[in-house]
Amino acid sequence: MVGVKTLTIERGHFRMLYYCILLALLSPVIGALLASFIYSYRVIRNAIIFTGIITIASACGITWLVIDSGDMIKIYLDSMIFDYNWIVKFMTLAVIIYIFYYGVRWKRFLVYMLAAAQLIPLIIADIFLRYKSPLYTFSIDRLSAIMLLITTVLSYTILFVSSGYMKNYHHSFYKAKNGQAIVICLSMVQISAVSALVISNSLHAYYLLWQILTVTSFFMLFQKKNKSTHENAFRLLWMHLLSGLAFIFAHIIMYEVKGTSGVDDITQLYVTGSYNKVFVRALCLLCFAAIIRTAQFPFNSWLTAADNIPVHIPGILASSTCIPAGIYIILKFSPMLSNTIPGKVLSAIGAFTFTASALMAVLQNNMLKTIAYLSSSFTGFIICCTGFGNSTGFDIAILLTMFSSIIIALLYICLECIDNETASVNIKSLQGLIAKMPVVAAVMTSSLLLMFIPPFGMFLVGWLAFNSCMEAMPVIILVIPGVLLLLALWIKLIGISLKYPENDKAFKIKVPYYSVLALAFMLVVVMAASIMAIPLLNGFIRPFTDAFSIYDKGFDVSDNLNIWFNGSNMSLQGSISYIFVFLVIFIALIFVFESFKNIINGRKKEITKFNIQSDDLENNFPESDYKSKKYYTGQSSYIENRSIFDEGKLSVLFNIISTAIILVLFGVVYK
Amino acid sequence: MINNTHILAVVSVIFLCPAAGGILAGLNRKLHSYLQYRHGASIFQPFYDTIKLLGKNGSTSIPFQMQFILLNIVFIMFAAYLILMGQDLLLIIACVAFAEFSRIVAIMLAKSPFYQLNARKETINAIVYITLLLLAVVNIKLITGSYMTRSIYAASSPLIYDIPLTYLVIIFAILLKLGRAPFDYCAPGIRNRGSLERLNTGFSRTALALINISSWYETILLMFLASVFIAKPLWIGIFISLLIYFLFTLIDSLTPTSTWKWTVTFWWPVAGLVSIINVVWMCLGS
Repeated sequence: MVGVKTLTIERGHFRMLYYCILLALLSPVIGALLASFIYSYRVIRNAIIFTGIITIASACGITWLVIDSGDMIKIYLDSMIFDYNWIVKFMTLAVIIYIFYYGVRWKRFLVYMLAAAQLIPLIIADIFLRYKSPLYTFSIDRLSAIMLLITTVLSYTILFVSSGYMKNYHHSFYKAKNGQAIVICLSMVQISAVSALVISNSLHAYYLLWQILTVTSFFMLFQKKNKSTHENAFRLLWMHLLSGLAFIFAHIIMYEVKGTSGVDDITQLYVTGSYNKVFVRALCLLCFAAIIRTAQFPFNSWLTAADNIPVHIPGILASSTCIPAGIYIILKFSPMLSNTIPGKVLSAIGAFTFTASALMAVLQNNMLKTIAYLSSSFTGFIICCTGFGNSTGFDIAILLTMFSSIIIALLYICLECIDNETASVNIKSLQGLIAKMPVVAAVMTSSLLLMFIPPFGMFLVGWLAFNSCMEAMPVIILVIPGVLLLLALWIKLIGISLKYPENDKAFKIKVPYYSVLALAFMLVVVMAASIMAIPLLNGFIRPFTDAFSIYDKGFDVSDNLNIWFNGSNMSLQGSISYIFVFLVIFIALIFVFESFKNIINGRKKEITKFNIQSDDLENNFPESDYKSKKYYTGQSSYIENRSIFDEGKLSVLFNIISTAIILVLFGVVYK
Repeated sequence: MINNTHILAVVSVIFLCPAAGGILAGLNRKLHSYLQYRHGASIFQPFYDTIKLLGKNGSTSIPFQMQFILLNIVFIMFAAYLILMGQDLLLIIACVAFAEFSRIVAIMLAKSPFYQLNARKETINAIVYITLLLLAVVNIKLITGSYMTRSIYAASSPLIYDIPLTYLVIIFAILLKLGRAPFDYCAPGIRNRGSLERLNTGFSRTALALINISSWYETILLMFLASVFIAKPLWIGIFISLLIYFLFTLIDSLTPTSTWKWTVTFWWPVAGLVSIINVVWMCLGS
């Protein structure tokens, strides 16, 4: 028997909701099974397309039902043949035991110790505490709907491009013959896990899904034969196990204090405000778990140290599965830390990571690392905004989650296209991109322009943040250099990719049709997100964050400036200012037009389709530094002097400072 | 609804700001010539140069450069419009920043490696001075409670009484932006210090004319930003800003140039610290 509790949902919609949830959770798993058993690129691509369409449609259906029904839908599963909660408990134990076994097998002390450290409290809690399961199994609110859409849409777009990614090249680098297929299969399992995480209502289920994400992320990296990638995979594993350890202790403390593991019951506490110091400790542990998962300093190396791997792996992890899962936990639980000292320290951790990662991103020559640091930086800003102590901070955080995921996914897709054709992820491979791959250059530069220039997207987020941060002024001062560094990265990317090569020997490379489709789709998503930002904020996000009932000074988006869209009716206020908006759109369109003119009338003397074989890299790409030492050093030629901006020294310095801030967080809580 | 204020602001942005900026640039050149015992060109020479450049055929041979120059001038004009309308200081700084970065991208698109080097230097300069401007704006918000320029005019006393150190930070930022010695390691300025330091040689014809006009707007904007600190009455603020502007020219003629490393390692800590001290001071005072 399945039931649903909501105020306004119609009876006819209930069946639709049921099927939407079922399809959203199961269709990626079916796709994963297909991808793992049948080793054929055509089957894999078709599996991605069909399961992708079904999953995205289901996510859209759930979102529509959430809007239609008010703010939240709660669903309970009752009188089932088997006990759902026992399945969760059994699977959790199985996953941890498997990780423990893997740690012992590969003689990784940290891995098996951290697994054992989780196993013991888990068994004790399962046997002695005798959990009461929460009444509702699923709880879907607007935040869940947004995260569901982000995960499904972005991850399937990345997977769609990756289905034809360097099939001849990476083939010889995987351990198994079907290594690429296994990676896609694991990605689909991750999509299902994140979808389940954002709609489920039990902390125990969260923990299971958290560990599934850990294991799948590990095996995605572990597929490569490369030793350095193995090291990185184990680094990811121990860091994520540490986050799991914090999670399980937070879970046990919360259950002990409040007698429930239902997320809806816990998050209702910020309305009543009835939580004590021990509960705040548990909240901080949860946030610590999320800090690791969102690649904040000093736990960012699981993402940023990953080089020489297929681009879609960090693409999926950073834009749509691992990092959004961490952000979801932060956004779900941090409102309870609003206007508290731990909340402010958490905000400082985010602000520091934002600026430090932005600096590191500017210094990189390896685009994989650049985008990884960029992702870490955006996430830092999201965490920073949650500590502002007003609901506008959460508005900004949710809006930025969308924008950052979209822009990171887009950059990874562009890089995937470049890597696929030129076998290099060095920033030099972007040089002359407008001549080599005009479609990729056009989409990348148009999207960056649309996202960053006033009055769109990211600019709006920054403007709102500066306007609503009066209670967190020291933190915002920490953020200011980061904003400028991100802008420097913006001009670096645009400048390099739009610059025509110095000689005329550059050849035009044909980009495969699936990449062009994915890029066009992403451009539409970017345009929609950045232009519709204000209606989305007013109509969809505000009603959700208003329910937090935390202090808000009543800051209104259309208060100060008359160029903004006012309210959800999208009417333009003001007089002459809208001319500016259209001027900007006009200039952005000129870029697109110029690029497409280049595509149509461009140089056609050497149109070649390169499908790189591992042994003809040197012959086809004499200028590629894929195998040279420079590729691995990650040193930048952008800022010449190493005495100040040495990556290694800076990493050590940033790790020390961020560790100190995290220690302050725990010091404040356990005082 | 369009009212008289809007029309007046638009007319000022289109005609008055470039006129005032051009005359300032001409006066600056004149002063330089006197300091070097030369007669110098007329104060209207920048206008003659720009009109001549605008009359040349074609804009630029480098693809996409013109679009970024257009972005540059659109943003800087919009910033001027906002400041005249008493609007949001944060948006004004953002527009100045985007205008600056659009100009840098335009420089990056030129094929010569010298321009690449210049673009990098200019990027560092922009990061440093816009950071200082943003810090100053945050300080202003702490005093007035709003980012709106009109709230500064409405304040009971001039800002310089409350945040004198922030005024210094604004002056540092203007020095960096205008590229006056000893802060002009990448000066787009009036004196030829070798080909590496002449950023604007990356542009030609209409593109160069637009860049010149944009630099006039920038000068006026920055002077106006400095004058809001002494906005009671405003004409005193403007007068002091002009004095400081010509003082910069004097110092520029007397001192050598700096390096980018010095700019970053000196100005960020010193000016940043000064700004933060001002924040702490105010927080303790309130």
